[in-house]
Amino acid sequence: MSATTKVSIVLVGAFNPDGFLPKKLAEGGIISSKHAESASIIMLIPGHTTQIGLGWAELAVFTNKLQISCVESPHIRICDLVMKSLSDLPSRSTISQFGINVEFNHDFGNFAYRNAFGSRIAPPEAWGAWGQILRESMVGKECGTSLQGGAMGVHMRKPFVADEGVTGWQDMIVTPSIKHKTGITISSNNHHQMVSLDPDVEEKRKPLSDEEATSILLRALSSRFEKSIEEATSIFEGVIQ
Amino acid sequence: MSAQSAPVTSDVLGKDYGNTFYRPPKKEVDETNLGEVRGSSINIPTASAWFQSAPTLPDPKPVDRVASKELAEWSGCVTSIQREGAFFTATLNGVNGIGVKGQEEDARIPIADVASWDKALLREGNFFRLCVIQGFDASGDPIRSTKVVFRRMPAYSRQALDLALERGRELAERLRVE
Repeated sequence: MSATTKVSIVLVGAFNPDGFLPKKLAEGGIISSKHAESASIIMLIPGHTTQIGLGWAELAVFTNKLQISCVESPHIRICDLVMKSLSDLPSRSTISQFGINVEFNHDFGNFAYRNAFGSRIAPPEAWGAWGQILRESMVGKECGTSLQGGAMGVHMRKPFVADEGVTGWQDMIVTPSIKHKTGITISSNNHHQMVSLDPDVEEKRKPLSDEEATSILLRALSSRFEKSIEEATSIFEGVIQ
Repeated sequence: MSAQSAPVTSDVLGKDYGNTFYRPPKKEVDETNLGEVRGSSINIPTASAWFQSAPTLPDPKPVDRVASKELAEWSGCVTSIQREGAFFTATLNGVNGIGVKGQEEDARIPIADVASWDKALLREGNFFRLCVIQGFDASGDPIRSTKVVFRRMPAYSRQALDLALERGRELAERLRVE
C-alpha cells in the first residue's frame, strides 16, 4: 500500500462526545493509559465535540457523527477502537450509516504523465470543440500553469446490496492532489446504510429499531473493514497502472 | 488533470458526496467563526466536521507525517509465553505484503518487541498484529523494523457466547465415534 495512504471510518448516528474523552477510553480498556496521558486535545466543547489526537490516530466525535483516521499500520486499530467503544462504553451510541474510507496520494512526477492519466479517465475529445481547447492547454505552453485545463474530478460509483438488509455503494473519486503539484488523490468511500436503494422497496420494509440497525451495521463494519481496504487498493492499482 | 489543484479540490469534496465520506480540514476555528462552525456540524449532515485547532490550543501532530512503508502485516495469536520471559510463540497469518498474504507461520517473537502499555495484553489466545516497516534514517539509508500491536477488541456479549455454546452443542451431537 502507498506510504501516504490514509484510512478512516465515518459513522453517522447519535453519539455522546463526552464519553470519548481519553480518560474514559482508557478506563474502558479501549486505549492504553499511556496513550490517554499523551493524547492531545484538539477541540473540546462539552456536550458537542470531542476531537483528540492519539499519536497513531485522530478521533473526532460530534453528537451526530464520529470520524477516526490513521495513516500508520496496523489500520485495524481504528476499527477495533470503534467496535470496542460502541460495544463496551456505558454511553450508548447508535449508528444509521458508516463509511470505510481510503485515500491514496500518488505523484506522477511530471505533468505529462499526470495529463496522460487525466486524459485516459476523462478524455477531452468527449467534450467536442471545447475538448480541443482543453487538449491544447495540456500540451502547449499552458501545460502545468494556472491556465491549463482538464479534468478536475472523476467520480465512479457501484451500488451494492449486502446481507441483513445492508445496502451501500463503492465510490472512487479522483481529484488533483493537494500535496503534489503533479499528483492525484484517489478517495474511496465504501458506504453502508440500512436504507434500500430502491425507494419503492423501502416503503414496504419493516422498520428496525436503532439498536437493531446499530448491531447489524457494527457486524458489517467488523467483517468488511479489511476487505474494503483491500478492494479499494485493488481498484487504485487497477486505475493507476 | 488540470494544474489548478487545491482550491477546486476542496470545493469539490465539500459538495455532493455521501454522509460517510471522510472530509479533510476546511475551516480554521477561532473566536470569530466558532458559532458558525458549531452550527455547520449540527445542521448539515454532509458538512465537513474535521476541525483544525483553535490558535490558543496546542497543535496536534499531523497525521500525514509518515515517511515509511509497510512491507508486510501479519495477524497473530499468542500460543505460549516462555517462563523466563524472553519470547512468546504465536501463529501468524499473512494479511498484507508480497509473498505474505495468505501464508501461515509459527513464530517466536521477543517480548521486548511488545510496548510496555501492551504487556498486560500478552496472554495466550490474545490477538495482535505484527507489521514489517521500511523506513529511512537521517542520512536516508533504509531501515527495516517490526512493530507488534495488541488488539483491543470488544468483550464477548452474552448473546454471542450463548450462540457459540449452541453451535458447539450442535457440532458435538453430530460427532460419531467408530
